Amino acid sequence: MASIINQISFQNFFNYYGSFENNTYEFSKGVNIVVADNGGGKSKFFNGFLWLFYDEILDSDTKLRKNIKNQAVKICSDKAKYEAAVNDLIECNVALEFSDNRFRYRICKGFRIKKSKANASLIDNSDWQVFFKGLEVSKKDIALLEFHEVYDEDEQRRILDKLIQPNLREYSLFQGEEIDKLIDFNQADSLNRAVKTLTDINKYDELEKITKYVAERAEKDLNESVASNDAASQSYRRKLDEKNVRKNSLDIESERLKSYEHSYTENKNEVDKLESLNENAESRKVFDDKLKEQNAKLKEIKEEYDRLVEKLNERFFDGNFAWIAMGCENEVSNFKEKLNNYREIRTIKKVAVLSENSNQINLLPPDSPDTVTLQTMIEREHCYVCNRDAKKDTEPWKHILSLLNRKGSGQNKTVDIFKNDLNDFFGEIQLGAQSYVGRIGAIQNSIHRTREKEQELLERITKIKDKIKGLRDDRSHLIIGDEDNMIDVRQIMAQYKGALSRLQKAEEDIIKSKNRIESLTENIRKDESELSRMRPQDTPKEYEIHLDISTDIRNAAQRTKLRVFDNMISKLEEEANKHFRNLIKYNELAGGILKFEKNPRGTIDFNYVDEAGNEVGGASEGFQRMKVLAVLMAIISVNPYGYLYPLLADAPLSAFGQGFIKGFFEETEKVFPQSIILIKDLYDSESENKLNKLGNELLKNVSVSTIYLNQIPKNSKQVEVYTKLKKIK
Amino acid sequence: MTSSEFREIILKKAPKYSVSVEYLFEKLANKQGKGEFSQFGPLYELYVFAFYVGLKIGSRIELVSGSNAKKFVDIAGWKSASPLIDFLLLTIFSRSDEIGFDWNDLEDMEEKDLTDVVRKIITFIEEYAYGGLDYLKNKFDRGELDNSQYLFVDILSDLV
Amino acid sequence: MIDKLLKEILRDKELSLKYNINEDMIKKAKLSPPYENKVIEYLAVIIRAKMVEVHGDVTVYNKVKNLIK
Repeated sequence: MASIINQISFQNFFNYYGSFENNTYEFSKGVNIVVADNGGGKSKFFNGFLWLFYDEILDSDTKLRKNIKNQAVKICSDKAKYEAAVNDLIECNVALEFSDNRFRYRICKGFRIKKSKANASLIDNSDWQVFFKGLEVSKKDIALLEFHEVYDEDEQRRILDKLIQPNLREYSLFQGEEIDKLIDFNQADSLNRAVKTLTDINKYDELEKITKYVAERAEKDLNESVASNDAASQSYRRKLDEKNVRKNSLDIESERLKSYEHSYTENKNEVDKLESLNENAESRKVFDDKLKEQNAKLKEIKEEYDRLVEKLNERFFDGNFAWIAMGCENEVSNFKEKLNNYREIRTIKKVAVLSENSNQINLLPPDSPDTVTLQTMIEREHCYVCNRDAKKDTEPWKHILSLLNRKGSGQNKTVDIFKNDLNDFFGEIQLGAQSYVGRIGAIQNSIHRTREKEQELLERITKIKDKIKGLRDDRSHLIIGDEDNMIDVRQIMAQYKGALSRLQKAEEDIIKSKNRIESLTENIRKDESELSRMRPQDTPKEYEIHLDISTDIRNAAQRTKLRVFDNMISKLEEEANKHFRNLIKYNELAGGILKFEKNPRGTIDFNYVDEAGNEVGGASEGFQRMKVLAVLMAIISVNPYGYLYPLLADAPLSAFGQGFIKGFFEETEKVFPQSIILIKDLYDSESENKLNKLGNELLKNVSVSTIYLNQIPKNSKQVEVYTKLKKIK
Repeated sequence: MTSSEFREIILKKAPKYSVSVEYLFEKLANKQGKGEFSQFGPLYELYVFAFYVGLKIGSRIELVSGSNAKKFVDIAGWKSASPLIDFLLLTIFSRSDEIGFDWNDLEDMEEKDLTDVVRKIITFIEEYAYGGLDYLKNKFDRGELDNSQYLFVDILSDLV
Repeated sequence: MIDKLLKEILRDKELSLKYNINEDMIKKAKLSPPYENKVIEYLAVIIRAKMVEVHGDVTVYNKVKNLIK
């Protein structure tokens, strides 16, 4: 029966200001969620567990776990400390109740602090006296009402272990990125350790050992009971000695095998490490090339953008844009009208002046029709200068004729009709301004297009920036350790080659050694069966049967261990992929395949491959985390007993996106009998009930047992901060 | 006087501006590195812009002569290779009634009278430019200028 | 829970063939007496002594040896 946490209460513990009653969470089987924004008390909650199990808290500044003894003043609620008078005692406690199918247990840890002076600093230990209490444990029969104190320290410890077994605590209590360390796929032993801890596979090891011992002792007992003097027994003894020599060789060979396996593990670790260093160097190169390309693109577009923006005001004056002419339609049409007027009046004035002086003039002002044109005008009886009829023998017609017949032609200077001849001046203006004038109607459109262009460039810049960020993120996962400590590539290669050849040698040695062991074992079996035939008549029958059964059990235990392990690997693979697919099913990207294989050493190798079986590298952080969780869940799932402890996770998927979170909640429920998840990503300060879309979905979901919302009063000073919990499901 | 002589005497003139708006040129033109606001390059661009703003809002402010007014670069130096000067002249001559002359009369004027018209034209430019600069100054002083690339575009668009 | 370990060993083909252990017997097999078969008894005693009562190897063997008589 799994242990289920029924409630956890805090008293003046960090933000959990005030009595237990105000700070009690009630939980039940299944999924329990505590939603809190940053600073809402998630890590503090988690710290409560660290205190109960390890007498430690996680220092939020240094991210290091520190012993509670020196942290007492810091742990105690600032508001409580602030409000306390001199010599006041403040209680600071964490209490937890959990139950199995028979008992309910209560565990409490705490201390009191006393303010030793007015204006005591809220963090300075010397201003406070601290009194620690011992661990308080009590239990009651589930059917009964009263708790009874448990004083025996051993029992206290057993009860604490019952909540979460010590070797499983790391798999049961995890915080953010710590999850990634639970199973470090780059460390050959990490996965195997998790498998050993979380499954019953080591029971088979244990059984193999004890049955071997029993069989050996049974043989010894039998041989001691064999009579020692007759011929039959002498040849039996000789055979027995022969067998023992072989047995000895087998022991030596087994020792050798162990050292080969040790060498294999060592070198495999080194090869893995160097390989990832090497591969990472290559994959990093791929990323670097992509980054370079994107950065160049970004630079280009940024320059284009800067040019556009910087030269924006030039478009006021540039003849291709002419924005300065915006709204000058009236000026343009006035100008045209005035120009026409001017020309008309001018012509009339000119004509008047000319006719007054018709006899004296032998020269025409500029712009006057030439001889050929005058001839045509006379013939057609029409004046092209003023575009009017000039019927034959009318005054205008005669005037044209007089011009044609004037004396001389163009040899003398033009007579100044006007003091200032400005016709060209105005004409030049009209012509020169034409490129502005022609664009006036299109200026608004041109501005609009410029804005659009700018927007488009900005969007492209954002897109490329996002791309670069993504590439950088992905690339960052490829960096192992400190960049500064990167060893010379050649040195890595040399090390790698050395480790690889040692690994290969170890592998060969293991195979050879295993062959030798197999043949020795085979021969020993033969010896044994021969010995059983050679036993003197007077050998006690029951000893023979005893040995027989013991040997058979030993052999069966050996075979079973291998069979169970092989089955487990294939089941592990199946389960891990099932969990993985479910965990990532709300994510758009397809994930790879998790592959488990037994290596020559008899332990598990893990790989992440694509459909073609090629290793996949550089998966995003979200996928990495999901891989770990899927494998962890798989290990728990293959365990025939399931998991008997609650899961407590603080920010397990911080910032990985709602898809991952949704998948995580669905899958957690299937594996852990109880989970308490502290999470920010369901919080939405804008929403009426402070839950976002997924939060509200989970609120309606039947498989979620409870949801608590932690809130901090708005705009309060640090000394006034306290967490207010609200059960919303 | 020929057309080109007439054009020349106009373009040789350097319009004046009031020192009270001088700082605007520092803030809104004469780009030297990036300022707080969108800027024009050469100073005369802001001047021309202000002139058109003045025209659009119909604000003509007299420049008190004397030490309060500073001479500006001659018109000939204003984007001489672009159609700007022609368009500026187009604008001015379209407003000849307001300035107080008739196109055709110009052709019969004595040089002295013509010079007087040119003086009126320059005053016209100066006073509308001042009107526009004053408008910008008020906006600037009241902190109403947006820190946007489209500052000048928006100002003009709003008035059209 | 530990019963599963017992059953798993009994499922070993060679062992079950030699000692005529059928599926029905495996299903019923448990760590406490009575036992249907000497092998089941041996295994149950070993497993219980080692893993439930957590005895040392010598004690486990002595318990097994007692089964001879």
